[in-house]
Amino acid sequence: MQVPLGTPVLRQLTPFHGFEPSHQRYVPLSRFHGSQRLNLMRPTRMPASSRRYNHGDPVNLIDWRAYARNEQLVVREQNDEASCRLMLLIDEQPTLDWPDAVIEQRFGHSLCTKRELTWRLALHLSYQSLKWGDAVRLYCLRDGQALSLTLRSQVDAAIFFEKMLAQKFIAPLDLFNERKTLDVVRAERCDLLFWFSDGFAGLPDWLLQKKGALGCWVQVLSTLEVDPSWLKGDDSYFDESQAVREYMGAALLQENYLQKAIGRWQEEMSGQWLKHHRNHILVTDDTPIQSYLMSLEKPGGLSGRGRGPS
Amino acid sequence: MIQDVIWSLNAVGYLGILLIAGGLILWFIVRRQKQRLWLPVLRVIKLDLTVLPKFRWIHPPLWPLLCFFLACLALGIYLFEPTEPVIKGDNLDLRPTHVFFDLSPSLALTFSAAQYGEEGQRLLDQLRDKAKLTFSFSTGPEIFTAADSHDVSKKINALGFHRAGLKLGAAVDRLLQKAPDIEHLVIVSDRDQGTWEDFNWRYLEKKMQISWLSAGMGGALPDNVFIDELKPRDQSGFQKNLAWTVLMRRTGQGKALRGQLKAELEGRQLAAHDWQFGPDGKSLEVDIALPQEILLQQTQDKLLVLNWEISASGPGDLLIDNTFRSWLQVQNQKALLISRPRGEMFLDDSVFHLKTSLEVLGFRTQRVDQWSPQPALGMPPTLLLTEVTPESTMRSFCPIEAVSRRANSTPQHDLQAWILPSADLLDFGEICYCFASLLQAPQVILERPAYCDKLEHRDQYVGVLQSLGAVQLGGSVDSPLGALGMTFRNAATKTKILAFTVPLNPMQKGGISFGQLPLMIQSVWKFLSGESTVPAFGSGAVWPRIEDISTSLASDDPATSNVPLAESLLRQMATDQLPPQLSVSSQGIIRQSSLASRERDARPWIYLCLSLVVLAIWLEALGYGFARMFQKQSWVARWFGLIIFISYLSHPDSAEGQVRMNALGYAPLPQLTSIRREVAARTSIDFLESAQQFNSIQRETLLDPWLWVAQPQILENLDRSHWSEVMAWLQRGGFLIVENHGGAQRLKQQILEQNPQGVWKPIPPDHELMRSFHLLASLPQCGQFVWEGFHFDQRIAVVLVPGDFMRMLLDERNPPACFSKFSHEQAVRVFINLLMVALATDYKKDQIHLPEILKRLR
Repeated sequence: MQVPLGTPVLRQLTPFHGFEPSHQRYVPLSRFHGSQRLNLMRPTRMPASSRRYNHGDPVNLIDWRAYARNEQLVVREQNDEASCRLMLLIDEQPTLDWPDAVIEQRFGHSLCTKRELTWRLALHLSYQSLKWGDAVRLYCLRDGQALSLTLRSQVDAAIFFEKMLAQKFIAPLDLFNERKTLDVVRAERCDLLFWFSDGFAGLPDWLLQKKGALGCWVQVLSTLEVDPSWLKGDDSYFDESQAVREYMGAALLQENYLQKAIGRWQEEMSGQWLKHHRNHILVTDDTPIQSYLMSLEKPGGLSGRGRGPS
Repeated sequence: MIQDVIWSLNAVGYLGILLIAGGLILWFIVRRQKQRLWLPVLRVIKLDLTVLPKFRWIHPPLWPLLCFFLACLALGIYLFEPTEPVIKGDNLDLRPTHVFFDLSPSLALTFSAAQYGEEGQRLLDQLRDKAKLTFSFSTGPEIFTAADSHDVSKKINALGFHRAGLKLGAAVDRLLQKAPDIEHLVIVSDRDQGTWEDFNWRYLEKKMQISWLSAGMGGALPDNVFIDELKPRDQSGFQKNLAWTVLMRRTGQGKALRGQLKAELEGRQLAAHDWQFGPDGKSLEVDIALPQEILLQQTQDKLLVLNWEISASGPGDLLIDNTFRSWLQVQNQKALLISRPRGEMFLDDSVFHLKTSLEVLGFRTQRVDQWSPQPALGMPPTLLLTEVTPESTMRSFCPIEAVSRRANSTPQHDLQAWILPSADLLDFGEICYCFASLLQAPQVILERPAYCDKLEHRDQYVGVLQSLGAVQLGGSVDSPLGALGMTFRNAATKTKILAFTVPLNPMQKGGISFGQLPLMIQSVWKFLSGESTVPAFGSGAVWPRIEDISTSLASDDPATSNVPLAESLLRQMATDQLPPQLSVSSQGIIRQSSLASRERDARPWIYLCLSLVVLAIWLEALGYGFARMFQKQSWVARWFGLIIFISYLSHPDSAEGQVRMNALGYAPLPQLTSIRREVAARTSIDFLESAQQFNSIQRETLLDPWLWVAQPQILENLDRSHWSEVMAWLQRGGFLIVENHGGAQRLKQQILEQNPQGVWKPIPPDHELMRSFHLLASLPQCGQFVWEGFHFDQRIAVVLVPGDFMRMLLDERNPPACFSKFSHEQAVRVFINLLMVALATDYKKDQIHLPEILKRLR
């Protein structure tokens, strides 16, 4: 899909892009902390906690006086917020380094790699969540190990983003705080789990079967992968892991073969993920920031454990 | 160029392999140059596509592909000659087949009759059981059957090559009249153009199959040296036999040839001459003299055959037509003229002309004043011609003794005695007496017979001759008065007497002139001597050359014919103009067509293909250049042709031959529409409507060939740099017109200072300005001021106009006061003349068209 010129897109994303889910009004009181919303089933008089009556709501929560005034069924329930444990997992694969220099040479200008996009998304989420008071743990899964990055405040996230920007988002080992095995990560408890990956290495079983967490897969792909119309018929294309297989661009493009195959694969992967978790978001470097943020609000996103807006 | 190349199958094969190898290498390089890109998506996608093969088709660019295919097509059309086996193995084809053997002399050049016989035998052996075979030779109409085919070799040996030429068209026509059921005609011949040129075998091919078996011609043709023309030298009479000019030619070039030319008469060598061709020599003229003594010994009047033979010294210089025959008539005729001289002016002397005519005809002549009875020395004359004048007596002119003497001998040939009256003869008595004496010889008549008296008139004379039994010569039947002469044959003395009734002077009535005299004498002589079939008087008349043996007359002898020129020249037909070729090999007989479709020659298509290839390569190169220039803008490369086309359309050529009004210091001029119309109607000049107007001298002011200035003061007040520009422009050829000059002494002085060789003078009535287009009587004066011109560099460079001429021209209704007598039409004429002078100066002075004008006037 062609994005209108000037629309902020994800390759420009920084941690400081403000994000405020519509269902949630951040109340800067010391009592409120965190992004997790609790809908307590007890009547309250605070107008901020009122909502329209939905079928099935307890009748005792209905504000009958309000009904008498304007014949609208309004439910008064008390809301509260709590801090939430957020785990961000970045699946580091060699394919994240694509588009590589050869492709850039073809286009004549630098392109946003998937690695860069992944880090931009992860650090943005970290920053925003820390701002709301959630506890954030960021793991970089590399070579069967989990490199942990402890971010205590949103300032930490901002500093880390600046460092990564200087390193062109290739994180050296000394930036990480500690190294853990995958089993430790697997056993660690969390409320929300974000899995950043392009999915080319498949979905790990432990992740699918991880209990007690709302999982969201942010699938990071390059625009050039989603829309392969830039391929040239005369050139040949291959994959490093299977160098024997080499295809002519003309064969791949014939009758939109490649596009259809990618579509099928995405559907399959998405279905596989959604069997166990609630949210799957596909983003590319050309996705508008706004639509990405909107998709985060879907059930299973940052809307929390409770019921989402109807 | 292409038709000279000889292609062999091996070479084509090697070429093909080389091309394929080159193509593979190229393919490999191109394949390596294709970009390989890492596309990780491929890792997760299950593709049913075939993986890139080891050998794969790379879509080539359009133009090179087209060129390649065109080149292949052209090569294929040209190289591969389709073959068609005429006789397929055991499948016996028993159709009537006729083999025609050409025995024309051009074949004799390359091989002998024995070799030819072997070749013919081999062909007939192959064909014998496979066809209903007949064969014939070009020498005669006889058709042989298969039974005779075993000894065809002997037959050819016996017949040999004939010296007459052969025309296949006529020969085949004759053959088909005799044997119309032939279905397959095999012509064994060479490619000689003389033989083939009249043969339209393509037409005949609709009825039957025609094949050609190439005889001989293993390699390049040897050099043929032959006698093209043989003629006696330009001499008359007996001398003519002595000197001959032989024109020899050769067909080849590049090699020096030498040899000998011999002339033989009845087996006896008369003369020999060495000849030599230089490397570039194509023809040679040899002068050869025959010995007089031998010729004098020959019998009189006999037609002899002179044999000319060429022999070459080099062993390889084989000559087919090394002999050439010509007639030789030994013309030992002698004429004795008896006539008294008529002064020194030979124009008055008709016998002088007669003598000359006889010499032209080959007689040896002798003239005596009067007849003497004693026999002269040497051979006796065969013609006695005597002229009778008024004062001569019979004894002085009448050669009775010469005639009478013949009665005793037995001469083989008749003597002719011609009696000729002179123009001023009044009395025909003596001449009649002489005729009567000759008529009755050897009997002697002592006195003049009575019937010869009182013959004062030609009519009487003719009447007497007729009554004596003389037969009239010339004139109409039963009207002896119109006869040229009267003849009588004296059988006893074997003498033919011819009495002319008119003098042989030029006369209008008789139609006699000195020019016709030899012809008349020749025909009279021929008539009286009864010679008509042989060329009597010309020695060395042309021996017949039989162009076509099949249509030669029965009287012609093909064996002694001179070889026709068409055969001697050895010109060859192109193979594609000949029928499909047969070749006999151990595998059988193959009929091979040089091109599949003979009706359509593929060569123009090949040239077209090659031109397309060149064009395509050129376009490719150009396109590549454009693509390199506009690498980023792909639309430019794609549409460059359109862009060029549009850019061509958007820059039309500006019209030439336009003249613009160039004015300095005028109030804004109106549109020049009317004057433009006038100029366009009268001349072919396109005068622009819009004037170019300036108030000061600028660069653009001096770009036009002329400049109109309103006042002389404008020029007088110019600063030095502008003034020098104007002067330079004038010297370059500018034409300045200054109006309202009013004397303008200062301006004149200034111009004169700059160009001291020029001169100011009033424009005279014969000036070019008065006649450059319209003929003007005068130019209008304004007060006491007249038109003045500055003449410089043989032209008029500045014109000073009195008064406001431009206003006069443009404003018809209100002419200036000083030009009141001057009509608008006159103004237009003056303007056009000015325009002409400005553009072409005095073009009438230029004489370049004079030849054309003179040509037209004549």
